[in-house]
Amino acid sequence: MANLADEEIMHLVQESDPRAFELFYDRHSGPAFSLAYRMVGNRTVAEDVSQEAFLSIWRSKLRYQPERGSVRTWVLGIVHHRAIDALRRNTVHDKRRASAEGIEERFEARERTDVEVARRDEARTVRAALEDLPDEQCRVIELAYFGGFSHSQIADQLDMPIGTVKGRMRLGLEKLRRTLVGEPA
Amino acid sequence: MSVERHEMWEEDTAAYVLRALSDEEHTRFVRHLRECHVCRDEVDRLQFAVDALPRSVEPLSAPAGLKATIMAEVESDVREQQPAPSLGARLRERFSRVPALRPRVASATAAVLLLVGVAGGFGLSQVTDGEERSVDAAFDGTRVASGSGNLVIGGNDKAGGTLRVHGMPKLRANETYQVWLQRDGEVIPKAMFSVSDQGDGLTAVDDLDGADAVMVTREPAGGARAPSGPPLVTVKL
Repeated sequence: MANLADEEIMHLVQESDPRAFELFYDRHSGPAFSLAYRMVGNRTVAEDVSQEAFLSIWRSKLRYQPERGSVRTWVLGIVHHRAIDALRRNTVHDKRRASAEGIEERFEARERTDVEVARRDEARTVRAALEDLPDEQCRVIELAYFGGFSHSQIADQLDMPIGTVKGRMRLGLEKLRRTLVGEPA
Repeated sequence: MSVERHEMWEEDTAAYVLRALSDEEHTRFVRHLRECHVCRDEVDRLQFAVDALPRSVEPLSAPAGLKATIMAEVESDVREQQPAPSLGARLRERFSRVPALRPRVASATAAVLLLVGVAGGFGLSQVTDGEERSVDAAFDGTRVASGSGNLVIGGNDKAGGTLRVHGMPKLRANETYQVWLQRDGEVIPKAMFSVSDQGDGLTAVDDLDGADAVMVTREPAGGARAPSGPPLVTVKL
């Protein structure tokens, strides 16, 4: 089973095969927890978010549609939604502030496999593309995606019109896309 | 689609893919997307960039205990896997475990709960506008004092719908709202969602074909396999 593609494992998961789900978890739990932790900034809440996401996949038999992207993208989309829900439930923002900056807990993935090395390379590539954006575009994108803030909350925080926030989001994402696919600006 | 009408929406495409629109704006934008291929194309383009964002995160390992916790739940679900009894049977079974209630009383209570929760009596109304229809949600007034909401169903029930609720009680950190679908006497677990400080919530409900009712209960975080009590919200279809 370990040699099956993500899509094939997903098919078995939808047939309620617990061994397939265990393999599914092994493949995706690292990126899922990484994203949750990046968003909520707290180990306990990130664990809760990851647990909610995986159990909802298992229990709700959420539908994966291959034509809309990879299994990894789909899983991370579900984690992102759960993390935003947690952020908007309010409790997380307090815990996040309480986890003093600079004494962040670390659970760095050990670089043991080719897959993990490839993940680090990929992370560096996307981070470089993000850092290549003008600061004001990068900031609104990060506040929205990783911070879970709405455009109006971002406008309040940055003291700028909502239209400006939306415009910067749009320009930033378009530039990021072009950079990642190698299209000229 | 006129150019003017499209221009009203095009600035929202990035906020939409970043999930930065309010619930109301999100619902309106989704409706606009159905009729505007220009915005659909732009959403697809920008989604590519958004999908890359989580891959920028420094890779971490999930805590070791997390897998054990999740797999214990999964194994428990598998052990319990059998043809699901009807909601009535679940509630009767639940109430039969309450020592203070005698069997006949418990049975009557479950029946009343079903009548109140599922059959409605809250004054349901439906509005059909050709392409989609809106069905008002009924709320358990004892637990949701000032609830309101509706289920907007696409032209084809198989396409699913969007459930919107307002005035819901605030959840604790270890709780979630969970959607259930009732079809032919079976109760099927669906999506989980949370609500804002104002009690507003929004979630997609799929697979509505042949469904008799959509219900919402309050459950432990991570959801449940069977409802833990009578529904707070019921949409009779």
